[in-house]
Amino acid sequence: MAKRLIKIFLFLAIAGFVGYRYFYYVDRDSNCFIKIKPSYLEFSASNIKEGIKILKYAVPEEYEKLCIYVDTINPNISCGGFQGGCYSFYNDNVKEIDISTANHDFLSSTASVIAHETCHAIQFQTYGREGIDEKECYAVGNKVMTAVIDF
Amino acid sequence: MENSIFQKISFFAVLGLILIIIIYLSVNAASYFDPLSWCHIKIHGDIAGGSEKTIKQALRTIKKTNPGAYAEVCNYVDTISEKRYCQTGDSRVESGLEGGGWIDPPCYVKGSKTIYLLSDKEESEAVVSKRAAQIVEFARRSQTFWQPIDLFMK
Repeated sequence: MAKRLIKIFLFLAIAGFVGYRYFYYVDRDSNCFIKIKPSYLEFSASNIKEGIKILKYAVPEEYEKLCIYVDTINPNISCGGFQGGCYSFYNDNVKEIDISTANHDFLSSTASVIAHETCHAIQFQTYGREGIDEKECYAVGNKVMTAVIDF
Repeated sequence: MENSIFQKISFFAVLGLILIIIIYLSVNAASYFDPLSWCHIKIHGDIAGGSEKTIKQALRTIKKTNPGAYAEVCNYVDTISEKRYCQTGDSRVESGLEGGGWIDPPCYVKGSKTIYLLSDKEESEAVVSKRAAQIVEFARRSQTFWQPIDLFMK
């Protein structure tokens, strides 16, 4: 009986660790919980988590928007292509964005793509399909990129 | 009886030592690991046109020549990555960006502890010295970013 309990505990601990490490972004202080779907090709959850952390500390206003308007990130290749991003209003979940960055991608670019797709999520959730405006979101991405780079 | 306990202890001591050596070697293969200084830095080399070896040598040089700066590097840098560019902005939005928004490294991304160095496969003393200077400089920038946040968190 004790052996079985230890096995169950170990299984839950490992599953919890893997889930927390690769499939969730959790920031209790900011009430921010984002699910990261499994990435079959790029295995890029750590790059995405780093990108989110960059927004949190270097561009907090964009981080706040991300935590409100996005609850799921799909890291698989989507309409944005490799190293890009995408927001699809055909998704059942309007709070889902696609971020197709690879694991060792340049981090300011990942943070910028996350902010860009969050901008589309805000546009769609606020104004519907007519609200989608690429120019506004390119400007948000550029703002993030210029804010975080130090060269 | 005593002999058998002694044999068991020796067996586990040797096994432990072998395990420690294996862990040390495997961690060191993909990163810079200096357990005595509690320093671990991931290194993402450019397989096609870079050299992780000169990054590790640069870190050892900093340790030898400037221990104060070495402590800063260990505290404020967790990844050193070789890249052929740093992206500074989006030329679709901002015209007149240097290099159209793509410049040569080194650079640092605020909010991370990652610094980027220009890919270089040359393995000379000059490259090691240049890399050491760049690592110290950009670790300082990371420190400038994180220090106020660390103080606020405390």
